[in-house]
This record gives sequence, structure tokens and C-alpha cells, in this order.
Amino acid sequence: MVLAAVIVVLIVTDVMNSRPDKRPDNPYEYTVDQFTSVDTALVKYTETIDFTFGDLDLRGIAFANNRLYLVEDNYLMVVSPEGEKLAKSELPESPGCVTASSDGIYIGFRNYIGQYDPDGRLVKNWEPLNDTTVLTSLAVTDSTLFAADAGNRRVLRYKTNGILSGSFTGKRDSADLHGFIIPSPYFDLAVNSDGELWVVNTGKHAFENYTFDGQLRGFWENAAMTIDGFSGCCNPAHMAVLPDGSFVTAEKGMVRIKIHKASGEVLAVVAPPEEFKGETYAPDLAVSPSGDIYALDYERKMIRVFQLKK
Amino acid sequence: MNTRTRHIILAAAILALAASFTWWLAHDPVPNFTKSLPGSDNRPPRADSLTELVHIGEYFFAAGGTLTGGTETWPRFRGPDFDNISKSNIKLIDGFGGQIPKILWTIDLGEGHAGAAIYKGAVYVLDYDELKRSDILRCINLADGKEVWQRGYRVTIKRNHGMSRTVPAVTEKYIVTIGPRAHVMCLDRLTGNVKWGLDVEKEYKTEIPFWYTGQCPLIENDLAIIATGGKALMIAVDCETGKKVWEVPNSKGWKMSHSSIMPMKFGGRRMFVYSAVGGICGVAADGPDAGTILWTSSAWNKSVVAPSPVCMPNGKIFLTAGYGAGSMVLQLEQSGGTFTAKMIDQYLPAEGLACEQQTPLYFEGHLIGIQPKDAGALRSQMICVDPSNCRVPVWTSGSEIRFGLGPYLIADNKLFILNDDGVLTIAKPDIKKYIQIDQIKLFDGQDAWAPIAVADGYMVLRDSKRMIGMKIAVE
Amino acid sequence: MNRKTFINNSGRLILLGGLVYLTGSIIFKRKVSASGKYVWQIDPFKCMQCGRCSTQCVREISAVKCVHAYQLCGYCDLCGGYFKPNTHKLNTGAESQLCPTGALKRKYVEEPFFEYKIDEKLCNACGKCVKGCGSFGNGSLQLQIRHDLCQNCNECSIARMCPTNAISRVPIEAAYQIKGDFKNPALTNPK
Repeated sequence: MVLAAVIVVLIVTDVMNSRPDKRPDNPYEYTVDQFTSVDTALVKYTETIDFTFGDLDLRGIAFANNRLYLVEDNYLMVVSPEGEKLAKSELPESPGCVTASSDGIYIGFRNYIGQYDPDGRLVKNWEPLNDTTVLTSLAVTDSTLFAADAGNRRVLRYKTNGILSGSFTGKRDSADLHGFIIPSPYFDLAVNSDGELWVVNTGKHAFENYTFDGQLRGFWENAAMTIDGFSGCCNPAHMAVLPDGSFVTAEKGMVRIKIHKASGEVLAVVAPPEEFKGETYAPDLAVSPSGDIYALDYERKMIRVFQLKK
Repeated sequence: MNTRTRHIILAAAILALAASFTWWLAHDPVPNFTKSLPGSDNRPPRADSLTELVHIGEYFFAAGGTLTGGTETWPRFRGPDFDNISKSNIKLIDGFGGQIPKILWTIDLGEGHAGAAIYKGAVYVLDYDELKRSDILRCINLADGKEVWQRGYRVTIKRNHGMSRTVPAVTEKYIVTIGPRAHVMCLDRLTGNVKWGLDVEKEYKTEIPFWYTGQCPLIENDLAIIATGGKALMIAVDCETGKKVWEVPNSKGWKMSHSSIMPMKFGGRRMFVYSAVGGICGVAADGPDAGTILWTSSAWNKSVVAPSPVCMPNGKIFLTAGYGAGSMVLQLEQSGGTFTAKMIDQYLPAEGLACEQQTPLYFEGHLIGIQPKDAGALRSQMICVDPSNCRVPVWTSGSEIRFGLGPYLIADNKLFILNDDGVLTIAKPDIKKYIQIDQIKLFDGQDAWAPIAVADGYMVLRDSKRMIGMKIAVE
Repeated sequence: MNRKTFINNSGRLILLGGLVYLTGSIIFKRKVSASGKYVWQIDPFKCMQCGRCSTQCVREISAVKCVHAYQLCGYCDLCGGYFKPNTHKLNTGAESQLCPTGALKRKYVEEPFFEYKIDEKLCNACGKCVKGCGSFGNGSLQLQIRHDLCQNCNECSIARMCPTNAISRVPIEAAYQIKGDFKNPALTNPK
């Protein structure tokens, strides 16, 4: 009888100790808590409005013509800066990225670019690229469109009529110029208001400035978990250029949005990691001419708008 | 058990205990333990690390050209008087008449922005040769562009907005250069023989600025004056012997900037003014206290500083920098031999005169410079301000006339402005309005940012990949 | 109901139950072992690297080991699985390494690529590298139960404590569950 009681007590104790709230702490806890808290003085932006369009699988965002262009799984949406849906048109397949200018909208599908007019009607699909192509970012100037191909680690240069006029991998004879190191399909580029092409070499945590024909002019890089650098194996995953030439960057893993000067120093924090749900995707970014930042939060399926604090 | 037995047992126990203790001490519980030390991944040493052995001035090459002589000099960054104004009496062209001036020679150079110094018919430029992976000081005959000799040393530089940066300092006897990674080389001017070399990065634990060293050296009274950062803020090295004459301790840990040391005379003292990353200082240039700090100010603390301080006669110092830094005006004051620097104005680039890369001109009591890209409506315009109020332009070049990051100087009372892409403009230097005289596209270039040099009626300028010499004297 | 009817009905019920089970297995595509043998394994998509694989296994050094899906690895210099988050120098010094036992080794391939290998004798299944790799890299490091070490207990003591039920019995024919398929839509259509 006593033995039975002891056994019962042991079992109950064991079961109780096995409850999730009674389990011992992980002695091998991996933590980045020291990097998730940010000096509030650096946070110079505030989230002003958010808007959502339901349970959509959003893929990319661009700002042009005082409009937001959103691509989601099989749809293109034209949205006002305040979040009012103005138009929606169906896409033939799942898009990966989008850019726009006054001349039209350009959508990157996996291995080809679709050219649409400003109202979202298909103009033409450009010649498909090879099967290993993974288009991750587009940037358009007056007559040139650049496409980042993460699959082949190259930047493609098109005329805006769809003629492929060249490509480059960032490599040169010199061993120092290693080309694009793209460990995962995050490969962003942008052209700033001075017409400078900037490419994010994510594997080097570097911003690289190239001439249009692919000659490296300059670069800066900073791999660090601290706020002044870029964390993880391949960051920043997304970026956009502010009107003054500085960069808005979004990192995956420990998600945070920051602004770096064109020379590389961190200037401000737009959204610290605590603004995001744990370790997740980096928001795609778009910037308005007035400097408002639009972040596509994939987890919450919403567009979050950040403005400089008054 | 008798006493003897007890003692034996006790002694045995003690011995056993001692033996156990000794074994415990001597025993290695982790015999297979291996240390994880840096380098076990077999990564080769990085070329840009402090481990690279650099033999400054290790090789010489007589290139075959001959110096045909000259009389005038442009012996350093910003010319003989540190103001970027040529005082030569040689009459220069006052327009192009639709014709490109006669380009006498063109030399391909390694990508960069190193400008030329000219000394009595010899052009000196510190190039970086990507194939030879070397800093190379080239001595070129001004009249025909023939290379006379090269003196160089192997050092690895990865291009980042080019590689070369600086203008040599030249005197009758010496040439002093600073390479992209702060290797200082002193040569005999006439022979090109090495006097000494100094690896500032290694010796002073200097952090080389982002985009490499932009500081141009200075020679004063046969002393090479170098702002090192790291263990010292500034040093003076005897050009003949290489011995350090003085070192200014860097107690505040300021870092080397791209800015160059500018001499200044104020309050009866000659001083070296240096705008470091961290602050600005004035160091006694002569007297028994030479090499000591006369004044400092941390008010000016910008992360990237390329322009040099503009030291004005009334003790005002104009400071400016790019990437959103804006500008600041300091007023030096002296009382009883003690100097203080008081900030009298500070503003953002859109609020007044500011420059990203070039140092503004001080001309007839006014400052003339080209606004940076982040200067709002005045972006990339040339503007002129009265230093008493740098926020209000006296004139601007106007929204139709904008420039880039290229250099500008005054010679024969003409303002020469080179645009990034090789467009050369002649304007009349004036403190009332911008008067453009002529403009021509000299070459299809890119990033023509290096300072211009003018002497003996010649102008030496460059873009990122080549240097050209042209005659601009009136025939 | 007499005894005979009861036995007959029971037999029918058992047969019916078996039929429902088989149908359900087919419908819900439950993996059924052809040989009828099952082993314990970790689903890497459910694993949250709680550290219990290291402390709960009946083996003195856990039968769970970190494995490396090389086709997923970026061969990065700054590897989230190799380096502590606050490391300043990307070298092999112990002070820079995340692994408490130094089980994750790296070798230089060419600038700037490195190959990462696990020394299984040293791996204690703590999962720190897996967490770091998953958070900041491609998730190529994963925890798996090694069947040459696992005693295949009737009740896995790790599974009992696993907070995400990531450990379950799987057919012996698919004894390892390593993610690494590049055709995974989440990877080919990156966000």
C-alpha cells in the first residue's frame, strides 16, 4: 500500500514537473536580446498609418506617380498613399517584385519581366530568361531598367522597351572583386535621384555603386549585429533610396528598418526589432518623394507607413 | 591495535591521500582537449590587414623622359599659399572660342583622384598601379608629359571610388607623399632616392579612413607634418633623417580624416589647423612650444570630413563636410597667449554654404564653393557668401548652372571649374555676382575630382583614369 | 446478446476499425512503413531548438546530432550558426564561436566562402547553431536523431518533453527528415 502511494506520488510529481511551465530553462539559450533594444533617441520615425487588404500573399511594393503599386499572389493593386484601393488587375502567375515610373509598371516574375501601363494593363511580357533565374528586384530610370537576378547572381540591364542590353556579375580579374555573393534569394538594387546604381551585395553586407555598364565605383560594408551594421548571412534583404540619397534598409532575421547615409553611417532607426513579430521576413520598402517610408509587413499582411517625427 | 600499528595505518592513509592529491593535480581530465585558436580555418591573411609587409620606396624605374625645366611651382595641395589661387603673372586664356585648349599630353593612370604637384617643370603624381599592385610616385615632364622616373612600393588596395587620393608636397629638396593606406614616403626631389618611409597605420595604430587616406602631406621648414590619428594626433618628421621632431599626443582618441592640415597665423602665432574625426585643433608650428596643442574644439565632430579648414585672416575658420554634416564657423580668440575656439554658427547643408569634397575658396573676403547634393534648392550650384553670414548667398550660379564634385581654382583672376564629366568652365571671380565666361567639354570623363594644378601657363587635371596636361597660357 | 453474437460483432467492429484506419491513412497520406518498422525523428520545421534534445535523451551524450544540409548552406563568412551574435572578429577563436563544445568546424574554401562541418563526437545537440542558422541564415543546420546512436526506446524521453511535438515515429524507410528542397515555394518565391 505504502509502495503504491510512493509510486503514485512519484508519477504525479514527474507529470507535474513535465508541464510546459515547469520545464527547466534552456541552458543553451540562443539570444540576441542585447541587440533588439534600440536607443530611443535613434528612433526618429513614427508609424502613422497602416492599411491592409485582407489575407493576401503580398510580394512587393513600389511608389511612383503618387501611387503605391503592390503585387500579391496573382494580382497587381494600385493604391493611394493613404491606402485607398484604386485598381486591381490579375497577373498570369505569382510575382516577385515590382517597380514603376511615369511610363509604366514593371513586374518581375520568376524568370521574366512583365511591362504594364500605368493603369495596370499588360503592355507585353519581356523575353524569358533561363530557368535558374530568380528576379528579386527591379529599378527603372528614364530609359533603363535594372533587374537583380539572385539565381544567377547578376544584374541585368534592359532598355525600357524590353531589349536586354547587358548584364554584369560584379566580378573583375582582380581577386578582390568577388562579384555578387547571394547566399539566399535576397538581392536588391535601386537607382538614386542622381542616377547612381546601387546594388546590395548581401553576402558581403555591402552597398555597391556601379556604373550602368557594371564597373564598380565604390562600396561600403558593415557586418554586425549592432545597430550600425547588418546582421545575419545576407542582409539587408530590402532597401530603398530616400530623396536625399540615403538608404532605407530592412533586415531579415532580427527584423529592423534603418536609415544609412550614402557613406554608410547609420543615421536613424525607422522601426526597431520590437516592432516586428520575432524573427521573420524583412519588409519590402518603398519611399515617397516626401520621404515617407512604406514597409510591406509580410507577417501582418499590411502596409505600414513611417514618417519622420515632427 | 597498538600505537605503532595505528601510526603505520595513519602514515599509509596520509601517503595514499597525498598520492591521490598528487595524481589529481597531475591528471589531465581532458587529454583530448584542443584549443580553438584563430586561423584554424586556413583562411589566408587578408591583404589589407596590418600583416602585409610594405617596403616603402622599394623600387625605382627610370622611365626615359627628361625634365625640360620651368620656373613656377604648384608645390602642394591648394598651391603655394594654401588658398588654391595662383599668383602667377602669366596671362591665361579667357575663353575657349569653341576650341578645346591644346592638350599636350595624356597619361593613363590607375583609377583614383590623386592630383598633381608641379615643381619647376616637373609634375609629381602619386598613382596606384592596379597591375603592379603598387603606389607609384610618377615624375613627369610638364612640357611633354614624358615620364622621367617612378618610385614605388607594393601595397594592396581594393578600389573604392578609385584608389589613389592625395597630392604630394614638394620643396626644392624633398618630396613627401601619403598613399591610400597612409604610407608616407620621403624622397630626394632631384634624384628620386628614398630618404625614409613611415607606415602610419602600423606605427601609430591608425584607423585608415573609409575610402582611404585623403590627407595631403605638408612640408614646412624641411619638416613633414602629418596628422596621423591613432597614438598621436599630429607629428613632424625631419625630411632629411626621418626622425620624429615632435608628436602631439592624441589624448582624445581622434581619428584621421580626409582633411589636410592647413597652416594659419593668428594672435602672433603660426599654427597647424587640423580637422580630425572627433574635433579640430590648432598645433603650434614654431617656437619653443612647437608641436603642442594651442587650442581644440570638439564642436566640429563629423564622421566623414573631406574638405580642409578654411582659415581666414581675422581668426575665423570655416569648416564644412558632406553627407548631411553641413558647416560650422569658428572664431579663434587669444587672450594672454591662450587660445580658444568659439563656435559662432552651425547649420545644415540646405541652410548655407557647404561642400562635400572640395575646399571652398577664400577670395576677397568671401567664400566661394559648390553646394552638395543635399543642399535643397541650391544643390550643386556654386555660391558665394560673406563669412559674417554664411547662410545667405551673395550670389549663386543659378538653377541652370550646376556643377558636380570636381575642383575649382583661381588663376590669372579667372575661376576655373572642372565638372565630374570633364566640362571645364571659366568664370570671373567676383564677390557680387556669378559671371560665367565660357565652358567646354574637355574630355568624356568620369569622377574628375582631383585638384587642378597650374604653373608656367600649364594646367594639369585629371578624371578617374587619366591625367592631362594642357597649355592655357595665351600664346 | 449471446456470447457468440458479441464475439462476431466485436470481430466485425475490429475489421471495420482497421478499414477506417487504412482509408484514413490513405486519405490523410499518413506515412506508413512498408516494413512495419518505425523510428523516432525530429521534424525540423517544428523544432524550436529548446535545448532538451541535449538534456533529455537517455544516452549519456544525446543521440540527437546537428546535421548539415549543404545544398541549403550559403557557405557564408559571417555564419549565424558558427559565430556568437556579438562577435567582432570572424575567426576560429573560441571566444567567437557559438557552439559550446566546438563541434562546428569551418574551413576556408575561397574568399569569402567557408565550409561548415559538424564533429558529431563533440555535438551535444544543444541546437544553438541550428537556432543561429535558422534565424540569420538559410536554416541548413538541423537537428536529427542519429539511428546508429538512438536506442529507439518505446517512449522517447525527448519526445515526451518536446514543447512543439516535433519528435514522432516515422517509417524506417524515411528515417531522416532533412529540409533542403530548393523547390520549396517559400524559397523560390522569397518575400
